[in-house]
Amino acid sequence: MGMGSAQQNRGIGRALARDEWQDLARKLDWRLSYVPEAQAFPEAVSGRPWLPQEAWSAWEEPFRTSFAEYARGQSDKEAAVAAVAEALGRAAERDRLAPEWNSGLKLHTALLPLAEFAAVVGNLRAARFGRTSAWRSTALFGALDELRHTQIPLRLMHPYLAADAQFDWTHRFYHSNDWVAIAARHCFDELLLLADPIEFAVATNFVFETGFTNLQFTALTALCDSVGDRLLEQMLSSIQTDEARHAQIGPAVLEILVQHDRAYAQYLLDKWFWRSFLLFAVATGFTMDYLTPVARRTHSFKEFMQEWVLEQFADSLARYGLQRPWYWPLFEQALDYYHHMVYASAYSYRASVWFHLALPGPAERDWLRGKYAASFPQLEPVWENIAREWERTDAGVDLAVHGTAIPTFCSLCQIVLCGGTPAQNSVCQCRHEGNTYTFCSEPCRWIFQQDPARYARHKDVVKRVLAGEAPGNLIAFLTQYSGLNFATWGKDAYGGDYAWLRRGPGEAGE
Amino acid sequence: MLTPLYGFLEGDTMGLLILAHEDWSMVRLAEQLRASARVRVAYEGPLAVFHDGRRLPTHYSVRDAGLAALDCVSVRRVSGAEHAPSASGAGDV
Repeated sequence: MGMGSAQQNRGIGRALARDEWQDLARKLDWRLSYVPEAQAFPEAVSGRPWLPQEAWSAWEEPFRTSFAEYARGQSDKEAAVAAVAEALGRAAERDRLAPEWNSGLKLHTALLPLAEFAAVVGNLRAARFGRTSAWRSTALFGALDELRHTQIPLRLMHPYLAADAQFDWTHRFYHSNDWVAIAARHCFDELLLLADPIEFAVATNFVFETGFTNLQFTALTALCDSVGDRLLEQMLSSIQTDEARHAQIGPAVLEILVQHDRAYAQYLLDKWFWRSFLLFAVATGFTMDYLTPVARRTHSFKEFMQEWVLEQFADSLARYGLQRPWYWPLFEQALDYYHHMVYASAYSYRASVWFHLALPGPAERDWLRGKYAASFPQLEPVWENIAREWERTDAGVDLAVHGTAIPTFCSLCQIVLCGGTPAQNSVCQCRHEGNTYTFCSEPCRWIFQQDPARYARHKDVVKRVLAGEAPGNLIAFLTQYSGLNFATWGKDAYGGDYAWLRRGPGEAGE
Repeated sequence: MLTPLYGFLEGDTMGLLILAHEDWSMVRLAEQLRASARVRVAYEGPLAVFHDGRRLPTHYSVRDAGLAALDCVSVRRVSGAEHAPSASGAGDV
């Protein structure tokens, strides 16, 4: 090994300017002499295509953060989060916000922290096996970032536990067999734990973080401001500043990847854009269109998606010579339907999740009709029917307005089969090695068929029930398998007690 | 003998698992799905079962129809006149 003499000489006799020092400190790749490069960075771990070191030499990202800068910046951010937690972190502060908004908080803070912890592993793999030292250095900061993103929600939600057992799911969620946890694990285990550094960079740093977390952190932060949730606003914006930095790994890797294997880059994009969309449609779509009090909503999920994902992210693909994913028309249709289909389904199986759901009333439905003129009229009969069921039932008798049959799940994304429209569900199937696999959509089937060995052995919830590994009875499924109980499972956010319901004297319970 | 089927009722937002007895007629199968989905979907009137793009005759049993475990069926509204066994089909699950 040996550093170039020019680089050595530049440091003698004067202090280096920041950018000069950065070039010296971040570009530490040397010629290996004890082991072949392919042995130190094997393709199986470093990712494909395997390229010699020189191919990665131009790798660069714009932040070029030094460790000292990183430590100073993070310290300041921690102080800001701590100050907000001190001022606003009491249960009484949470109680002044609408119950459905707090449900959105429970949804996000369950999905977030341990997924971020899995991202620590993905970043650390890149910090060792990324193909250039600048990438490895940035990934190391990324790992530290994600550790912080694990700790912040766990720390901030902890004070709420004493008053509300559902906040226990901030930590419990990924350790459970709740169907949402199964779906999230299926995605994140592959995305964050299994992916090699190249796939991780494209999938996590570029698609997930550059494409979608803008939606999660920036657009949702705007809603926090509207609702008056300063604690969540501070948490999200603090996390977003980290994401914005380490997300830059993605474009830097992608730029080199497309020069050598454009088809593989396109495949990774197509696969992870769809998988990311499905998760964000549930997490963010629910919150924006159903769990934010209607008077506080600023934009719909679709409008946020159009601004942050379609215009800013999808338009950036051309810079890398990439196409929009092949299923783009299906994606555009899904923007109008998918999260509405899942929310209505989840509402009617709300005991299967760890947060409460709200029933859209006349004001909410007016708003949804205005934002989703093409699709919501097809969803509205479902809500009218659920409202009629509540009118025949006493408030608080939650399970009387609840599904009892076993829902069905996608063999790829593991989310309930809610694709397509109420008129035509988009379910599709394929056979592989004598087994039947069922998918919510063509893109999920396509992802499975590209790499069946990766996915075929995973059992969705239906197959677990049919194999006798999970109870078929709903209450047993919730209590013995999903880890829920009456205190924690989801109910109507208002106990079905809405002034707009026409629950006349003597009608309820008949 | 029970056959687990994926059922999709027209107007519903999700698929449901139906454990169908092999002797059930298509009418019984359709009614079972309608009952399972009633919290979200409520309409009266005749229904038809579709599989692989073809409408299954109402008098067929699950066995007659050749439905196998984990097959998908869609159940759709039809007019009274259409309720008689027919070869016409719409759904494509």
